[in-house]
Amino acid sequence: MKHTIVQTPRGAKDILPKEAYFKSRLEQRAGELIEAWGYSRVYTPTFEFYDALAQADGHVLADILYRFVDREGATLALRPEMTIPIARMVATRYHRDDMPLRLYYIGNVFRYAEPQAGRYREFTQVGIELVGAAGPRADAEVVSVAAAVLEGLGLTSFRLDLGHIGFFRGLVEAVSDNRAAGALNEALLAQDYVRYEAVVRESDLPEERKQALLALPTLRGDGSVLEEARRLAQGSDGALRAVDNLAAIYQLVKAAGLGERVGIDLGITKDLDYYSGFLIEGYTPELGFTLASGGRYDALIGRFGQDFPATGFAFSIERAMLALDRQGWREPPPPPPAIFLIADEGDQARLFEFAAFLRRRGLRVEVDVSGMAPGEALAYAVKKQIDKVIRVAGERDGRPQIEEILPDGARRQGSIDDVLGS
Amino acid sequence: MGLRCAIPKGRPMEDLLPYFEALGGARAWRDVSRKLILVDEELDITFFLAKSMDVPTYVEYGAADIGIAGKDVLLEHDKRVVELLDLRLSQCELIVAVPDDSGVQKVTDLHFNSRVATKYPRVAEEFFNSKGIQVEIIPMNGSIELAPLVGLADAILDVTQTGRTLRENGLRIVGSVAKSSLRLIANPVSYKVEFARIRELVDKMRRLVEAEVQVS
Repeated sequence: MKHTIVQTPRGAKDILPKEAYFKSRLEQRAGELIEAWGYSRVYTPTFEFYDALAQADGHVLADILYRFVDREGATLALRPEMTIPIARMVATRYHRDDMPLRLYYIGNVFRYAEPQAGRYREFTQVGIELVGAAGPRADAEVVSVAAAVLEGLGLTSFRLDLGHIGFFRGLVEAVSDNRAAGALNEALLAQDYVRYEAVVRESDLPEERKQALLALPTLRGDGSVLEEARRLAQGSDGALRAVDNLAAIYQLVKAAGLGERVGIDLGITKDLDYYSGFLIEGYTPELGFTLASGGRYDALIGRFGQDFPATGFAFSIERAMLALDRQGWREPPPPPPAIFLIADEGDQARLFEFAAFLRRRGLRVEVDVSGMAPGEALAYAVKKQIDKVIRVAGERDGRPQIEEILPDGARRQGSIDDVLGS
Repeated sequence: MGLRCAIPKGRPMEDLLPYFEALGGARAWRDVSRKLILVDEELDITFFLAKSMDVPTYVEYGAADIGIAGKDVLLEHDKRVVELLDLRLSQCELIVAVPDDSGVQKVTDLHFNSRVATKYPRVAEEFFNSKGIQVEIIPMNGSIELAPLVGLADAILDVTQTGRTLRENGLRIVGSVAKSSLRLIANPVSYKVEFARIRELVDKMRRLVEAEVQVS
């Protein structure tokens, strides 16, 4: 048989009931947790005009977009993440009086990249966007929501690292050679510190700026890192502003009782150029890759016509599932139906009548659709963990006559109330 | 729990031995026999002995916190790992070579229907694309030198330390692609979770590397 008929494309997968139930429960819980903070759910189209998505970060996203052409010849693309579509939505459907805006989403995104550790080409993102607020309070809220959601989902050992794009940008401002600045950014992004160090040493920066840049990958830990960062940032207004901003956010987050969960990491960078301020990265020792990610993006919405500051974070449900699984989390299965109903060929109408009666009384009922004999029905009920097998057999005084098939195969005649009451 | 470190079996491991000895460990390395996991109690590191091409994979998935891998392997596999330190060991070069009697003098002499055999198809594709040269890349698993000798390929892209194997097989270098040496790498999350321990190891190894370089 042709493989394209029987296989799913690389990076895509089927989700069978057990996993699907776990996934949908997590999505539901995440939604409820986020709503408790005053966020409203939105949906955006699965596909957008290519130009709208590329508008935001052309060079990075162009490589990973699934692109196609519609019948009018317009180029469309599947959304690779949710922040850009929401930025477009906010800029075109909201006004200044609607701010601040608290929105959240749960949706599938598509990236035509090599499937990585823990990531398929189609995966589900949950995230929030807090639009219309520029100060550290909004960023601290994003950190707090991230912690509340991950904790509420049952993740026990996750940590959130806070960084700031302005720190690195401030330090490299003085690099006169644009290519060197680009190379530094690239090496830092790839976490290739060997190359990063070489580029810093070869650059035309003053010695103390070089020392600050060389220290960047080691600037992580608790709040005391900020003092070290402030010392290294001397002489760069941008970097100093970044440290002050981060310190203000960190202070609020600590006041919210998240001091144990949250750390500082000034080495965090992002491949998307729309980030403009604080950055957040969530991880857990059970996974070798990032669990959650986000930050402030004040200039993105403006590219769609109306300027609003904004901040947010997102995480992938699949990675949360993987982390929970590694942690030993076992999602209890949904409760099985309480009753399995069978009947002989001649009693089909009574079977349906009786099933409808039970369902009206709020019982979970499954009806035999394949003509099982009582023995087969018992085996099936055991397999599906259904409590009782009941056979509808004829009628008396205009009511269906029923008998329970007991686990040993014996039959117990009885009225409806007998059967339901026991 | 100690750090988990994936290291490449064979020659690179021999190069690494004196370094880990200088750090006060590697006693467990002497009786390697056929074991694949060595518990180094002095250093509190568990070493996984892997094939060099697989080291970045162990580290990317977090099965190992840190690892030691050749830059050539890192270039070929493009894994999400943190590259922490150039150990300047097992130094070698990725090169393009052709048979002695070939008319090709430099890489750009290769033309559109040239075939290049290599263990590094990804590196090869990027290298030739960046030079604007279209060639047919033939991925292979070993004994790359054989390919041009039997007419399978016009050139090879391979790694060489001294150039001896190339010369012995009548091959001549026409271009350099990249320099390689062993790198200390880490899983991005392990680098966060085990930050203090990994930084300490990096600093100690950096001092050894710098001392070594000054001697030679």
